[in-house]
Amino acid sequence: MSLELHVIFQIAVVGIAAAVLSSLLKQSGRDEIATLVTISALVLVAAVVVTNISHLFMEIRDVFSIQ
Amino acid sequence: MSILQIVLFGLVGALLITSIREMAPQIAFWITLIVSVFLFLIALQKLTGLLAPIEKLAELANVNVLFFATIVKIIGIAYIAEFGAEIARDAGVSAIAGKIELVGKLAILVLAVPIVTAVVQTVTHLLP
Repeated sequence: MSLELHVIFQIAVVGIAAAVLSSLLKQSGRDEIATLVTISALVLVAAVVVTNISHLFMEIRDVFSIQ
Repeated sequence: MSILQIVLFGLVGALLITSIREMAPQIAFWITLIVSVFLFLIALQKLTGLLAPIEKLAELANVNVLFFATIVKIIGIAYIAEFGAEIARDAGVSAIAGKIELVGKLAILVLAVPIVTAVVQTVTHLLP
């Protein structure tokens, strides 16, 4: 188990890119596409985070022998 | 894993979260979650090395295996409930955090029932 700093930077970059893109799209009057960009960024980040959370929960289950 | 690395990891995460929060609050929440998950994984790694010697000590002291397993489970429930409650509180929903803590406390109480009954039985044995 190493500290996976790159994962956090990836998520931060996705967040910044989505924020900038959606604000640009909103200013040029394409609100629907801006919403889509925000939602897809959220889904992208959620996929990464949920994988890691499931890993954490499996580990907790092993360590504390819960169920 | 040196302690300096872990602390700096947490600080870098905090820095990223504070700088992203105004731009994209949802993504900041996800970063909070994943930094916590990684730090918790490191804590678990340290704990696994600690748990085996304690189990050996409990065996040497003739502690009932059931009691030891129950206590380990209770510690796990306490940690995970605290984790969830803190995340929820950080996201600004302290109502949900309170409920998570409530459920954790009740789960611990349910697990502790056999120990309490054992104590009561011992006491009633001692009494004439």
